[in-house]
Amino acid sequence: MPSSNPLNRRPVFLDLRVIRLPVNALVSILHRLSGLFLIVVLPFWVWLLGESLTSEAGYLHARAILHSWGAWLALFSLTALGHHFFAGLRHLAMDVHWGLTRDASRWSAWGVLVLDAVCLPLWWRMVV
Amino acid sequence: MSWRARGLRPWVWQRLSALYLVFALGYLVLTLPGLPVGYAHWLAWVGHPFHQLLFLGLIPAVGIHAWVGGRDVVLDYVRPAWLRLVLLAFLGFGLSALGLYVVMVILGGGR
Repeated sequence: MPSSNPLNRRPVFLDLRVIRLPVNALVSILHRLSGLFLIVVLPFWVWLLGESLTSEAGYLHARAILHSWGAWLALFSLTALGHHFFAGLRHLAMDVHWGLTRDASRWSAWGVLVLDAVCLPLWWRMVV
Repeated sequence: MSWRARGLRPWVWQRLSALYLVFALGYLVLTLPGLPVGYAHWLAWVGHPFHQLLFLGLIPAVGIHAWVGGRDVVLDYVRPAWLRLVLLAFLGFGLSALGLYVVMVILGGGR
């Protein structure tokens, strides 16, 4: 927001097509988005846990859900959880001052994305 | 509403809960796929004291972790005070309700 005070008139630069998103910034925003997604799907998984334990019929119902539309939700949830897990480990490592330099943080951010990709077929196999 | 949970303290709680989640979720992802299919197997697995403890530990860990993380996101992106209050209340009550439900399910699940 341009201020009337000329000393305070800083440039506004919010063009999303031009803003650069370095890999560590990408991993950071994905960490937030995946965390938010996990909060949103948490009630479903808690409900499914309860359903699977109430009775034999509930267990079969939960299995049937997991083998139909629930499989997609499981795949998305596992992918989000995997990313949140790896990116979180990266943050914990940084908390103990490991990998704080710019180069190291870029390498570890790439490492998180590579782990995400490597795990994708594993999540797929777990779900199908 | 208490705003005492600021500064370094939620940061520490976020990390402590993260450490438990690394352990518990790592264990679950590694062992659950190898579980034999069937209601009886499932009941026995969940009813095992170690797994009951694991789940009971997950309740505060997930609750704290989701609360601090969700609160950070709300405070960063939501400006109107009333909307913050609504979202944080929804998050807090929601997580508490889920936690209570899991306690009931887990402790009743070993029938």
